[in-house]
Amino acid sequence: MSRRLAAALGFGLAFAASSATAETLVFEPSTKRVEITSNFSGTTLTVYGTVERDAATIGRGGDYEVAVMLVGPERAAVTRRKERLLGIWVNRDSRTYHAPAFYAVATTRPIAEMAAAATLKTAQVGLDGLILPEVVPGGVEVLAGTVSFRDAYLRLRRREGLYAEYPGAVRRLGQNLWSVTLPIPAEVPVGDYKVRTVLFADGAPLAEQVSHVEVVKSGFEQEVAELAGVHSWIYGLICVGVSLLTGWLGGVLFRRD
Amino acid sequence: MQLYLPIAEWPVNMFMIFGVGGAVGFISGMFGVGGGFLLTPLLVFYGISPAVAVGSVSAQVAASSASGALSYWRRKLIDWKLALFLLVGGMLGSVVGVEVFAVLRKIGQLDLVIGLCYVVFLGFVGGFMTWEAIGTILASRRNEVPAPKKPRTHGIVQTLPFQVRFHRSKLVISAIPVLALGLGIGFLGTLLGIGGGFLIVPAMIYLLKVPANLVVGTSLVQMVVTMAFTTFLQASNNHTVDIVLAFLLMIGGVIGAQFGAQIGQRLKGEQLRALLGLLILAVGIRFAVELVVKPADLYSLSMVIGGAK
Repeated sequence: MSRRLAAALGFGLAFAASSATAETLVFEPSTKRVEITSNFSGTTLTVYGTVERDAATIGRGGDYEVAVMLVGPERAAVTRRKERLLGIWVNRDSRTYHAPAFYAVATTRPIAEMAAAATLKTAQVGLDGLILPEVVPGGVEVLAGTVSFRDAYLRLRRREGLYAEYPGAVRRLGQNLWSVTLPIPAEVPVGDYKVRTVLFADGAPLAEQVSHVEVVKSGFEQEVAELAGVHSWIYGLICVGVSLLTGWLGGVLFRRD
Repeated sequence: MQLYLPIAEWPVNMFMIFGVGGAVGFISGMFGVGGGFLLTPLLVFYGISPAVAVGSVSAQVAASSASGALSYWRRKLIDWKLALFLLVGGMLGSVVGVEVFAVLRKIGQLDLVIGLCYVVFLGFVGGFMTWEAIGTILASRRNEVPAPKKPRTHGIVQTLPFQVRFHRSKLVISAIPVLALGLGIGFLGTLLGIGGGFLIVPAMIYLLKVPANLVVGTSLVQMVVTMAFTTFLQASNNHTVDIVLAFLLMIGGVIGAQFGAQIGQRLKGEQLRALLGLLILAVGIRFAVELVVKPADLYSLSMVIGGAK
């Protein structure tokens, strides 16, 4: 059942071979590191890029289309469906997806107009074709899956602001130069992010490039999270200490008798 | 002012959290309850994950009950021996609670169990409290003096084995119901992120027949220790205590409680009980509605364990 994944991988290799002789994408994100500090309320990531081609490439009639994706770290997320049981609504059926915790895609044109649905799916561009491997006993597999759960997962992710499509957000600055500014919400999960760009022309993908950006907690946030994660019992003692001290101080400061 | 919570991994408005803590503190000061049963649902409503809300509120409850216990200690209104028995039970209950909490979260039934417990306990206690208080108010309107209830001298607490003498409360009762009460409150408190004051106070009065003037102070001591212990377990086992969130709630709560206490002193006992009963009942009904009414979205999303969410 992991044929689709294999197809995607094969496709990637084909890219590597073709891009050496024809068009290539060159781009640079505005930062390699997004720091979450205590006053973090979201930010943006700007990506600049050009389409380069060697002298031997034949000029194409149509315009180039560019898709830029910011893909977050893989996390397992459970989608649950409620059913009525004895008059109350209870979580029954569920699917666990091993999917990016964040996915934003910006394109030069509406995604569906850039290429055929199957092509977009193989190139992994857009939410409609996003492969969502499921966590099954004994590992992770790409299954045919249940459409209703898949739709619910994507809808809930969009509502959280962690999945988004920005058709037309990639601006052409010149014949070969383009840029895009992707919003990063305050709820962005920490981890290693991929910036993937795919170049399309005449409905066919021509080149792909990948760069990396990390989202990290910084300063006080990072120290607290690390303490809580690594030395959790020390953190627990500190929490208790802070609670009792605050309570005691409150009792002394606002003494009523 | 936006503030990013390091464990909840969620940005919040600092003044909003401070205000929520203050408002709940006001109510807790007014009625002399912890207010966890209001705070946890409010935080969840605000977008904090239920697990982090429950964990962080236990730290807040430890702080607010420490304040309260201190004031009763000064007035020497605490039965330490009884508190010790209760908190031994409470800590055991807390250990079980943390385990059950983790299992329920994993199988996706935590929200359901929390909801059901809220409906059952809040509904029952709130209903009883309102009914009793309104009865008293109506009786006093008719200038009737309610006949003092005869204290039962031979209940089940006198007949069970392991009789223990509690000098301060002038009681000789079996240790079993005392430990069981502590255990039950510790378990529920851990699971629901509440101190359980609204459960333990009536139980001590009606089941154990502890003198009314010692009930609150003694239950506060048991709550401080049990909730401090719970905070430690939630932080070290489940990684669900956000110290920044808890601290903001504590500060708001301590200040709010001062104003609440001043208003509370101007009201009569039965008026306070009727208001508190209605409040508890309202929260219980809200949870019941949520369980019964068809949700707007049948699907929900949650992260698989690993850190805060």
